Amino acid sequence: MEATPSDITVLLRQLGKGDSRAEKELFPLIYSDLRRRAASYMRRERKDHTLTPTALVHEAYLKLVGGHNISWQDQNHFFAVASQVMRRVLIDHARMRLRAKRGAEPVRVVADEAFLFTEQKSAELLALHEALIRLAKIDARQSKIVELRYFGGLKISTIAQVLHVSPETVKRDWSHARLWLFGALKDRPRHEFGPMEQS
Amino acid sequence: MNLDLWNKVKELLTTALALPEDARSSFLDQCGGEEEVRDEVARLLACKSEIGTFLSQTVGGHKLEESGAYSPVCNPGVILANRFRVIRFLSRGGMGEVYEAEDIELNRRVALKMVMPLVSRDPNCLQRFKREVKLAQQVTHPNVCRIFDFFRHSATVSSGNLELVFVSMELLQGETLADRLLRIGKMEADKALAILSQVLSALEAAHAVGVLHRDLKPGNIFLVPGEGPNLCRAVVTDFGLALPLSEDSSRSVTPATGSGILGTPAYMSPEQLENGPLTPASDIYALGLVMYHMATGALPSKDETLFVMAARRLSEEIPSPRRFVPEIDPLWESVMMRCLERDASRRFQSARAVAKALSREESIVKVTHKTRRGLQSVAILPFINASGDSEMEYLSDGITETVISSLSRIPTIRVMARSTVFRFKGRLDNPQAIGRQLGVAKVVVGRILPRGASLNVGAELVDVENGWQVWGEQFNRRFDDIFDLQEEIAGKISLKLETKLGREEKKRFLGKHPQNTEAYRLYLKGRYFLNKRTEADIKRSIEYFERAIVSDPRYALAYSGLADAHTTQAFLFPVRPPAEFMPKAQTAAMKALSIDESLAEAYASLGVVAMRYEWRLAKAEEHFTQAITLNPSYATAHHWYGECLAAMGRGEEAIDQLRQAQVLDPLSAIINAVLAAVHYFAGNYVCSIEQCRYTLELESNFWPAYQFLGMSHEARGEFPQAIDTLRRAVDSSRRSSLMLSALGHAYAVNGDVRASQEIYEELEQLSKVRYVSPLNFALIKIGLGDADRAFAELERAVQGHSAWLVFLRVDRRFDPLRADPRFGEIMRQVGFSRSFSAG
Repeated sequence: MEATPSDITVLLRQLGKGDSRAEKELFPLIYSDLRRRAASYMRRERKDHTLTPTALVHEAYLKLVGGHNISWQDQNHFFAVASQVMRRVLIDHARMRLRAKRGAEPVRVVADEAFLFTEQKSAELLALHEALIRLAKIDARQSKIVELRYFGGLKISTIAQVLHVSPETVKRDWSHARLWLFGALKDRPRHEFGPMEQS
Repeated sequence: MNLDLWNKVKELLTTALALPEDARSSFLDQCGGEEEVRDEVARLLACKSEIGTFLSQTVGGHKLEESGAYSPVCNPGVILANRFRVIRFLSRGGMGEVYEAEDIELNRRVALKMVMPLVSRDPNCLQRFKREVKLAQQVTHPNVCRIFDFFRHSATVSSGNLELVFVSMELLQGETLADRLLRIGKMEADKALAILSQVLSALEAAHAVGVLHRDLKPGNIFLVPGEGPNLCRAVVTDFGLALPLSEDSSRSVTPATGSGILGTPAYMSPEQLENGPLTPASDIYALGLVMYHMATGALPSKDETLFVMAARRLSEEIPSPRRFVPEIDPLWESVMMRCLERDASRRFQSARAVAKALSREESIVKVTHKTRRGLQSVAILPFINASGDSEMEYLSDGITETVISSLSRIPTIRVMARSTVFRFKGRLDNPQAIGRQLGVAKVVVGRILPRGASLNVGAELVDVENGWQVWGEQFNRRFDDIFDLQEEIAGKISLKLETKLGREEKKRFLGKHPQNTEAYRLYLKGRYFLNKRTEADIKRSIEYFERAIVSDPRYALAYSGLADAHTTQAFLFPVRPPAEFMPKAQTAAMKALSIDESLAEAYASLGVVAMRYEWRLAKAEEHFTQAITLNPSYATAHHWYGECLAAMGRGEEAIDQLRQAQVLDPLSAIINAVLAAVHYFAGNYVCSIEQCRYTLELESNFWPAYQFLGMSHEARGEFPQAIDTLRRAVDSSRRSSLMLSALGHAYAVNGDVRASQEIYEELEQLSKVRYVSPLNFALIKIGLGDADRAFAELERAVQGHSAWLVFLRVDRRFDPLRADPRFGEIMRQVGFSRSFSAG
C-alpha cells in the first residue's frame, strides 16, 4: 500500500476532528512505511546510532507528511498514531527474532534482513509490551503515555496536547507508570530497559 | 484492582512522592483507608529506590526529557580538588553540570564546569579535550568567557569511586540570551544588534587563533548587565567544545570524538549534523539561527522536536523570518538568510564579513522605517447585508468598495485592499482579531438594512488595540441617494482618521464612481477574475469589463480594467500575437484618462503597455510613478512598477515596491508570486523559493508561484525539484506555452534532451492552432545549446513584440547567449542601450 501525503493529511484532519475511524485507516499506511524503513535500516546495517526507532518515526513523518501544511494538532496526531505503529513494528520484529531462535516454526528470514535487537532485548521488549497491556486494563491513559514516550519519543508537552490533559498530569502519570512497570518486570532475569544495547 | 481503589493509590502515591524519601513510610503508616491501597503504594514506593535508569530512554536510546526534579552530583560546601568550595549548583547543559564555587587559593568566585563522562572516561578523548582547553585559554577577549584551568577530583562515595573532571572559568552574573528570549520573546532590532555585534567580535577573536565554537546557541551567550539601562556585555561561553583548526584556517578538521555529535542539534549547521568537515562558516550558520531566534522569537519550525527541526534543515529551505515578523528589517533578513545557506561556501566566510554587512545599510533602514511611521492604517471590512435579501449584496459590497477607494486616495492613510478584506466576508464575528491579523490600527465595520423606500446604513470605527469604538453613526437615505450616501460615509470616516482632506482631493472623488450600480458590480467582477490569472478567468474578466462599459460608457475605471485584462492576456496567454491586444489596451487606457485625467489605475495600465509591448522602461517608470503619486494605496501600481524595476536590473528597489504592494494587499496571490519573481530576477533564489511556498499556502495550485519556484530551483541546480515543480506549473496553467517552454528549458539544461524535444514538438503542434511566442522556442533551444536556432527565434520574438523579452537583461536563462555579439544586437532592439546597461 503506497500512501500519498495528501491521503495522510486528509486522514489526520479527520482524526483531528474526532473521527476515530481515520485512525484505523492511518495505521496500515504508516505501518507499511515504517516497516519498510526499519527493514532498510537493518539492511544498511548502519553503525551510527543516530538512526533509531524514534528517528524512523520522524523520518516517516517527513516523508509522509513533510511537504504538507498541517496544523500542530494534526501533526501531534500523526506522532501519536506513529508511536502506536512503532510499537507494533518492533514487537512484531521481536517476536520474529525469538521464533527464529527457537526454531519452533520455520521462519524464512530474508538473507539481508539482519535483526535490530539482540534476543535478550527482544524478550525484554515483549515483556514490556505485555506489561503495558496489563497496565492498560488498570489505567489506559498511563499505558498510552508510556507508548507515546517510550516508542514514539514524544515530548511531555506534545503528549499533553494529544491526550487533552495538562503536562503535570502527564508527568505524574509517567512517574507512576514507570514505577508500576518496573514492579511488574523487576523479577524477570536481567531487566534492562535503560540504554539499548548495541547488537 | 478496581478503578476506585486505583484512583486512591494514585492520589496517595502522588503525595508520598512529593515528600522527602525518609518521610514516606511514616506518612503511609499514618494514613488510614484500605490496606490494599496502602500496600500497593508501599510496593510502588519500594520500586523507587531500585528503579535506576529503567525507562529513562526511548526504545531507540534517546534520552527522555526530565520529568522530575534534578539532583546535582555535588552538594554545597563540598571541596573539590583541595581548592574549590562549591557554593551552589547553577545549571546543567550538554557538557555537564555547572557550579558556582569559591577558589580558596585565589580567593575569588569562579564557575566550575564538569566534563561529561563520555569525554572524561576515555583517555584519548580526555587528552584531546585538554588540548582544546589550552587552546581556548588563549582567547582573551572581553566577549569570550575566560577559561582558567583544568582539574580532577577523586572521591569515594557510597556508590563507588567518583572521578570528576572539570574546568574552572570566569563566573558570569546575568542571564543567558536563551533565558532572555524565553522571557521577552523576540527582540527589537537595535537591542539585538548590540548583542550580535559583540558575539561577532568574540567569534572573530576565536577564529583568529584557530578555535571554532561548534555549539553556538543562545544558551551559550551570557548577558552581563553593564552601565546604563540598555547596555550589557555579551559573553560567549563554552568555547571548550571547539576544536583546533590547522594553521591554515581554510583547511577543515573533522569532529573531535569521531562518533556521535557534540552540541545542540537545534543550532547545528548541516555539515555538522552530517558529521562533515567544519569551518568558521559552520559557526556562522549557528549565528544565523541565533539571529533568527532573536528576530522572530523562535527557531524555524519551533514546535517540532529538535531532531525534526534539524533534519528539516538538511533537506528544506528555512522559511524567511518575514513570515513570522512581516516588519522585519530587510537587511537583517538578507544577512540572516545568507548565514543560513545550506552550502557552507555560499555563506559569509567570516564573522567580520557578517558584521560589515550588518552595519553597511543601517542608516538606510532606519530612514525607511521613519517615513512609514506617519501612516494611519485601516481595514474597511465588508459591510454586512442585514436585509436577508441576496440581491442587496451589491449594495453592501458597493458601499465597502466606495469607502475603500475613497480613502485609498488619501496619501496619509494606508487602506487594506479590497481583495484582502473581502476574504473575511461572512466571518466578521471578531473585527478586532481581523484587524490584528491584518496589522492595521483601526477597522471599519458596517451594515446596511433597507427600510421601505429608504436605506439604513450603520458604520463604526473600531480601535484594534483596545476594541473601543472611536466613532459610529447611522445614516438614513432614500435609495436614489445611494452614491451620495457612500461619499458621506467615506468623508466622515476620513475626518475621524484625522487626515487633512483638502478641497482638491475631495473633488477627486467625484467621477470615479459609475452612475449606476450595475456597471460597478460588473467592474468588480472583472477585477476579481483578472486577479485569478488563468486563461479562462482572464477571458471572463474581459467580458465583464466590456459589459460594464456598455452599461456606463463614461465609466473610466472599466476602461482601465479592460486595458489591464488585455495586457495580462497578451503577457500570460497570448493566443494571438501581442499586436492584437496591446494597441487595444492602450486605446482603452487612453479612453479612461480622457474621462478622468487623475485616474491612477489608467496610468498604471499605460505603464504596462509601455513595459511589456514597447519595452520602453523609462517611459513605463514615469507612468507608474504618476499612478502611485495619484493613489499611493493602489497595490497593483506598486506591483507593476516593481516588475519594471526588476527588468531594469534594479532588484532592491523592485523588491521594495513589491513589499509595499504586499503591505497594501497582503493576501493577493499574484502580488505574492511577483514578489518571488523579483527575488528570482535579483538572484535571491532562496528568498524566491520561500516566497513561492508562502504564495502556494495562500492559494494552492497558483501557477505563477510554481513557475518561479521551479525556475529558482533550476537556478540553484536542483533539477529534480525544478522539473517536478515546473510540471505542476504546466498542469495548473493548463499547458500554457510560457510554462511549457520553462519546463522544456529545464529538461534541456538537465540533459534530458528527449523530454525537452517532446515539449518542443508539443509547442510546434500548438502553434498550428494558436499563436505561440517564438520566445518559447528560443528558450528551449538555449537549453539545448543550439545558439543559432535560439537567435533565429529571438529575432522573430523581437519582431512579434514578445512581452517576456522585457526580462532579457535579468532572466538568467539567457546567460549562455550573452557573450555572443548577436545578443548585444537583440538587447539593443529591445531597448537596452549600452548606456543603460552600464547604469
